[in-house]
Amino acid sequence: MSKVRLLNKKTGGLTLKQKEAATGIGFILLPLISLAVLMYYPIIRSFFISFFDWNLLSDPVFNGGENYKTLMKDEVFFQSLKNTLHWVVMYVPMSVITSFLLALLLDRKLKGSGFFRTMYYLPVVCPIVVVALLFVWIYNTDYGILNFILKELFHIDPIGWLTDTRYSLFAIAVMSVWKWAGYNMLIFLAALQGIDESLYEAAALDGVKPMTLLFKIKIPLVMPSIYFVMLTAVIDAFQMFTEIFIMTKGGPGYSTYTVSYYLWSNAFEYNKMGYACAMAAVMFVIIMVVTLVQNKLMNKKVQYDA
Amino acid sequence: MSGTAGGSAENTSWEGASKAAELSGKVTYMHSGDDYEREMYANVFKSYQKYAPNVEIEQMYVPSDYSTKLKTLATADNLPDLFWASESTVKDYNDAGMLANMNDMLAEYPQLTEDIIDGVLDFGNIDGNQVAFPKDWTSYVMYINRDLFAEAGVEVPTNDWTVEDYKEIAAKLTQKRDDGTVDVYGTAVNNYRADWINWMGNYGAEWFKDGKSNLSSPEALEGLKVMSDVIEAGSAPSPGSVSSTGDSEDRLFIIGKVAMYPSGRWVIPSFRSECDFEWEALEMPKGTTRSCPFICSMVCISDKSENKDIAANVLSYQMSDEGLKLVMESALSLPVYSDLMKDESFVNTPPSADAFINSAEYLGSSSQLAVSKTGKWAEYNSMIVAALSDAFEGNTTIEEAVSKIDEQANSTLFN
Amino acid sequence: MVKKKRSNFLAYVAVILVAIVVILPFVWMVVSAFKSQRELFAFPPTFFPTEWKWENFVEAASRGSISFLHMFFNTMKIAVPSTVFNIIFSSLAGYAFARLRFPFREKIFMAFLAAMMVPFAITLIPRFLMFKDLGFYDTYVPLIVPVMFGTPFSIFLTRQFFMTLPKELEEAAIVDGCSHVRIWAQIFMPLCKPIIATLTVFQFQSSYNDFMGPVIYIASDAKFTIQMGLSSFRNSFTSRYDLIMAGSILALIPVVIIFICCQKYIVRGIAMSGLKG
Repeated sequence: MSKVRLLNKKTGGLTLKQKEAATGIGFILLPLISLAVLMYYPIIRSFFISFFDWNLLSDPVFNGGENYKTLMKDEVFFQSLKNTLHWVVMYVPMSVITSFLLALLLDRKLKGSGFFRTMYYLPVVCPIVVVALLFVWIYNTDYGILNFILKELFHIDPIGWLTDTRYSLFAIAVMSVWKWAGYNMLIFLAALQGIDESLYEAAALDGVKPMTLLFKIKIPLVMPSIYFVMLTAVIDAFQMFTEIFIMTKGGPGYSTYTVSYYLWSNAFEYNKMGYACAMAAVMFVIIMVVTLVQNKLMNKKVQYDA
Repeated sequence: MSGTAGGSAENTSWEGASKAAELSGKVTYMHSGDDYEREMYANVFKSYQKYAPNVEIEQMYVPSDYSTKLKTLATADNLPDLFWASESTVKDYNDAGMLANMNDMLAEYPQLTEDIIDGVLDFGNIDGNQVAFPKDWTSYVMYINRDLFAEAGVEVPTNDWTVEDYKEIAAKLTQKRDDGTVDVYGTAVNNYRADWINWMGNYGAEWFKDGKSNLSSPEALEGLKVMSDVIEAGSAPSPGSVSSTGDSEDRLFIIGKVAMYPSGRWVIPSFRSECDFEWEALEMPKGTTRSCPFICSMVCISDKSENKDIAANVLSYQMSDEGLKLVMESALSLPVYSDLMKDESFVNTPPSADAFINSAEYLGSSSQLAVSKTGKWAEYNSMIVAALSDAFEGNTTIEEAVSKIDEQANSTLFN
Repeated sequence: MVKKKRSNFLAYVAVILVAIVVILPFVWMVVSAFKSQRELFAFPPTFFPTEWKWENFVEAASRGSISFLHMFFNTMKIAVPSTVFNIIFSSLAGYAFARLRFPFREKIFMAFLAAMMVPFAITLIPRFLMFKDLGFYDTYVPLIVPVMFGTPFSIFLTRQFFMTLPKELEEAAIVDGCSHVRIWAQIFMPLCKPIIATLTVFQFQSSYNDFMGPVIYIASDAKFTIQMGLSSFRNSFTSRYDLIMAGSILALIPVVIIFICCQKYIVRGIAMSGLKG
């Protein structure tokens, strides 16, 4: 009650409520301007450029929807989309399951779990350039340590991890799981540790088996985190550039072209800026749709759990 | 054309010396390459400044992603006065209005074009205007490890060897263990434009004809097959198995894991300092004929430069005997002047200069020249790299690869 | 009890196995960095170098037109202001979104969240044009400004955390006529050390590890960053894995130090942000 009264008290011409609003706007003003100028304005401008034929060097020439028409017939673009999708289907389950298992493991209050947590997180802080170069070396068909180990232990003939179209994307996905598992693990760990202890106690009293506990309590309760991790993974799939740029340059063939890599090649190698922007617009729409669908699913799921 | 090491207008043969003394101002010179080259050009500029005390040259060295950098500079309206551009990008840059017309400069400094090798100017000439000047070139030759030849009891071939000899020798030089481990590969293949252009050219292929990609012509296919044949025979590692982006073959040669290796002159400095065996350079083996790719960095002058006078004078010094000597010492590339090609102080040894001198006789091809004038090299190049990498890694056949390239390129780029 | 012990034992075996998988690539990086070129390509490979070549590190640090140390300081010029200002502005905005009522608050917050979904490639080109038009080409400004005024992720993280704090915390202060800036600075910020630590690691790491940004905006070699230096090792035709690995280790050291300093707060930071179920 006192608060309400206070809010209506006038101070220097402004009510407290007005003052609060002014403070709030003041606090977000710079971030908001930065967001508008550096995010939303570029998105709009990029969309605008997508209607031009522009080589970055000479003046842009308006060409209507020509870029979009070409895009719809561009095999490499569709191949890149397909690769991105393939990546999502392969990477997301691998990553979610690995990180979740790691989180379960560290959620048992083992001695020294802090140490292991730190260690598992180490790849996350590594520069992606470093990780990519390191794995190029590890994956090397003839001189890489991985093929050597496989040969010594399992008598497997050398595999062209980055050169065989059957494995190249998979090999990069495994590297990404290694790189990011620690991060996703922390998100899951936080979620697991947020589960009310009393739920476990009640379950223990009822004699619930560990497996049932996992599937009926733990997984449903961390579902929002799982959605969060999945959504991030999908967005990252569209962002994937540096790994490709350093490890395969999209090859062999077009087997590791991702949307971002193809977009970059068009913009900065082939000088097709307008075309690249059209690609960006299509990518934007796809991501928005994915996000909306995932949000819908998530809300449904959360309501169901509640 | 003979140069002395002097540094004053009186005792130099460089024609621009007296003008240099009058000039004053600042120019920026941007180039790519590696540390050797950075130091080399730093030397050239230093010695230039003895003639031009009032000229300041800012050296801008870009070790990687050079063309991205150049384009962003152009977009930012911030082009350096002088910059390098690969022969394949000249057309793009010219279309964008970046390049100054050098015709007047060539008239002002006649030494620039005196004794110049036939055809090299064409790559920088667009519609009669010289907009880029070939600062040097490098021919493609076959480097061989003499020790490994001796070990395998194979006689070192002479310059008149053929592709058949090459394949046979490559197989003989390959040392394979019973379990399939390869200790020495006979040769290596690069998925790089100089390699394809060379092999296709050695069969007289017109791989770019009438404005269309023509890689599936029998001659072009035969040339490319040389590369896939040696891989299939196990005499060469697939380019991707060495490094996924195929750029470590020179390392394998240096450590004695590859016995023969086609490459440009730029590998010589590291071979000289790092190879602990006898090595030599031969001409590329002959197919039905011979044709050497023209691999070159051009020097361009920005059309927006406010100091074109100085820029031209710097270029003229760089290309003078005195300037070139400082560059050619390193053996990274070859002079574009035919008289200097025969001069040991410009084309130094080892390896013996014959392979390089001879290759100047069959330099360049109409296909390469035509494609460089389309302004679409970068994209066409990516298509070829992508399709050929699939073939070299055994994911498709070479026939499938070339028909895919032609279909894709002719329907999207050259339609 | 016995069962519990046995499952704990199995859990230990599992965590250790995972730790080995995580650490092995790093170990391989370190031993490769010390090998000679010939040994790198030896078959069968040796695990430990027969001769430890410390020279590789010297060469990696001094190659290139500017020294590694110089590149390190350049990188710091970007990473430090980005991180510090990012935390200040993000937490202020996070505070506003969590605690202050103002028009369109939820809608504006959504606008920030939506921006998290936008891939960098989409904004890359127009941003470049804008910074170039403003004359910031070849300066660190385009690398610092987009993050210094707060990023959606940091704002989201701090807001989620502030929401979990009880209202009573600031009520007394408001009654006493405390300004919101003081409440933020003296009450909220001291409570969110874990968030600050988490953001420090995230932001520092993303500025430090940024590769495309410098490639696009930086022209003069005196301004090169560590990531650019690393990629120049990979210049075509001079792949030197020994130097690449040595350089990578040098590049890794600063981030790992920052991470180890902040690590004990990080799980709490993420837990507090309310990313939990």
